[in-house]
Amino acid sequence: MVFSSLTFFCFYLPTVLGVYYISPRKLKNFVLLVTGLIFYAWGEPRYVFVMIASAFIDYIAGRIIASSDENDFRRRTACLVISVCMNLALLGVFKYSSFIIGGINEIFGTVFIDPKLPLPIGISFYTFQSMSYTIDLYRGKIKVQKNIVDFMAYITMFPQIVAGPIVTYDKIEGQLKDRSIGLDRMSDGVCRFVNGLGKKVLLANNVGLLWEEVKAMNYSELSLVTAWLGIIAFAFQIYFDFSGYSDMAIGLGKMLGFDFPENFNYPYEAISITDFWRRWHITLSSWFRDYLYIPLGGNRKGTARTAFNLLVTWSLTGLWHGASLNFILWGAYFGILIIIEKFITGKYIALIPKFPAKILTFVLVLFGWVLFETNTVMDSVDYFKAMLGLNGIIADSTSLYAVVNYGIILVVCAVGSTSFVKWAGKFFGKLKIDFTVVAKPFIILGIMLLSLAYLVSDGYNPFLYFRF
Amino acid sequence: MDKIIKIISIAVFFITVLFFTVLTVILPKFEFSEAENRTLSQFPELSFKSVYDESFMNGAETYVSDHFAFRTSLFSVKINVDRLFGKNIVNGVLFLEDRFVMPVTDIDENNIERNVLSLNEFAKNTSVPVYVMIAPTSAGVYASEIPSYYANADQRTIIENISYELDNGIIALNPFSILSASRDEYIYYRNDHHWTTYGAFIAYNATIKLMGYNPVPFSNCDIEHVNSSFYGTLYSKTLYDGFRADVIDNIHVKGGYSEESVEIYTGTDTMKSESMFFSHFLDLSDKYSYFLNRALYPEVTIKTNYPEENNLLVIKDSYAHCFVPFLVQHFSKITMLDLRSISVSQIEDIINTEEFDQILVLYNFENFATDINIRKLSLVK
Repeated sequence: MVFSSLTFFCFYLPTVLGVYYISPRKLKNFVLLVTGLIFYAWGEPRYVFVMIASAFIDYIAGRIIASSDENDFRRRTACLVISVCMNLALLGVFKYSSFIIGGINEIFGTVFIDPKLPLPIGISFYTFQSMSYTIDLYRGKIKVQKNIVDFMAYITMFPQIVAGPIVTYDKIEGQLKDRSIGLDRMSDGVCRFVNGLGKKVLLANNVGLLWEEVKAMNYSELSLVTAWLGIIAFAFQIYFDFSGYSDMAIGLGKMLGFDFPENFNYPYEAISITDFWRRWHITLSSWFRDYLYIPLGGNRKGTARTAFNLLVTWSLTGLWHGASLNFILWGAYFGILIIIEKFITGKYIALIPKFPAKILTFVLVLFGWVLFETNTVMDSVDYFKAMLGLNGIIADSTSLYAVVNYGIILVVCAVGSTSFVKWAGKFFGKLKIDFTVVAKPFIILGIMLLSLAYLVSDGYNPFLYFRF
Repeated sequence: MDKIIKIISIAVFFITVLFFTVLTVILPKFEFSEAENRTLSQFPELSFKSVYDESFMNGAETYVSDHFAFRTSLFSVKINVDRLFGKNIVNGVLFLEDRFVMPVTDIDENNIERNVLSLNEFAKNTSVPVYVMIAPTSAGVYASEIPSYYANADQRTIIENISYELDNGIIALNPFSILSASRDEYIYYRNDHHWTTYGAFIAYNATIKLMGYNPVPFSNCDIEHVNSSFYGTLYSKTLYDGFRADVIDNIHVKGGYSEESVEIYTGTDTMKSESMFFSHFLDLSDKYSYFLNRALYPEVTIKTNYPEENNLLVIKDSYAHCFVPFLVQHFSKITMLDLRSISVSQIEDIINTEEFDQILVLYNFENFATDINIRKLSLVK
């Protein structure tokens, strides 16, 4: 199930919240566990057992690590290795087997059969969450979770299971045992959820239609303006889609009494690529920093090793997004940019004015999105050519079409992806009557009704010729 | 103050959610949506198998969406917001100044070629003269009003090319020029994808000579406005009611011949009627079916009081339904076949061309370009 569906919104959510609120405190985690499994099984009725099994193994591994003697290094390590390898193996089998087998066949001319396994929903997220638990336990950073219901609830609770944020166990350890909702958290939760819903349904889906059209075109005939409008549309689509989803997750978390970590912080206002990754999918980049980059030695082992560590970390961050060469290149592209910033240009960033730095960063990110979103490397190259005007067409009728049909939504997205709204809110907040507060219920109602209108229309598919 | 607003915000959220939840559950469910012209889904059966193959979940989501409270109102909200945001095309339907048009995109030239070859094959296998009329749709006649950045097939050129590719034995009746010249008249519905009765009359008037008949002049006709609240298929696709409702006219020939009986073979049984016009459809959303009933029935036979025996076979889509009534002035029996409802195995039994004096193939441009049933004609021996 996804949050942005009528079924979730009008049936699953009120039912689950109702049951959750009336359940006694001791049973709340059990309710989370069961409803999370239903939520997951709704979209993945077969592979729900994979998730249960992997969570169970991590639970057992955790118990053994905790019960082992502090000095029994081998037993503790063995459990950690089993847990990490099992999680990585799940990712390897379900997410990367086609890619790896295809690659081997291509290079060595072999004919290994590709099992073509479907990618279970959320597997990239829950394996990472699960690993954070056993690794941190091994490091002695957290206490063992003896209650299996609490542990399973942590893995399966519905807000974050499908698309994050990646909530590492240490962030939520205390809240699993003891949490309260209260008026403030509840109203924050409602606002965050509705805000995220609007971002996803009203902005991301609509601006995404433009990219859908541009993506399907022949890149070698694309005009410069169309190419830029197309990839800008995609940049907004993925931002509002993903951050909207995170907002909804964080909001739902608050309605359940949890404080999940933030995942986005106006990434398109970043003044450098390093800065961008502090603002984009924060829980993922922190995960890679804490569980890969720093264990590799981080920046403590000299320039060459630091550069190597950065490149490895970012290539794998790229690969995490999907099993294809494009994603590795996309990650490596950012790795290289970050290395350049770290060792060469970093000193000067403070010297240039903010606005050009933001624009430059945004453009570099856009080039990154081309690598990310086009299907093959050749397609990326063709798309770059179009963006650089090498197709020899500045603008054509398609550009005009894009501007007429999508101009306003692009502007709305541009404004919405900056902190302008927040700034305007502060401005209005200083007036005698605080409009931002008074308007809140109306804004909530408006976004909800509009989102419902767009969600309903998704299924609106009149069939013309059937009765004619 | 702050606290009150917070409480109100939470209340607004839950009341809105529950409002739609409760109404979706308790409001009466319909099997068929008049506005959308389609059957709505049923709630899926819950079983181990339907959960395992996810058909239960998908079915339940479709069901919720199909029966959601205030569904059509919410949809019009969406259209109006889209319009505000400058979007001019919804579900493939384009908003022009005073009408909808549905641009024809993605022309499959191979399919057109194949249809033409099938017609040539068909004409070769019969001694009866074959006439082919491909009527442009409004997107063809009003092409100059469609901004160039919308994909839209050049119907004039493609229809002309089809005429050239038809064998010499086939006579092409091309109404494009006359319709284009009459573009300021009411020849296409604003909210529906069909031509109006007057549009069909103009096409009849300009081409029937090629079949060997003198057309009835318009001055010899009476116009009856049978309905003036028609919102057709293009409205259904968009649910935008900003364009004026359409008027359905019936054009009667003064003192002309008329039908004596109409038999409609539905595929299972035969409906009989004394008239070509079915007024009860005027009360439904599917008002165009006033003309010779729904186009999905495989066979319609019209017997007239035309004094000499003269038999016509019409192979057609729905555009023929308001065109054929004019042919009553020239034929004693008209048989209409809709290939979409006739299976390959039936085709040889149903069509015996030698019974007829003339054969007319009449399709609108979009159907001719996309239809995959015309090829069945090549099977007719």
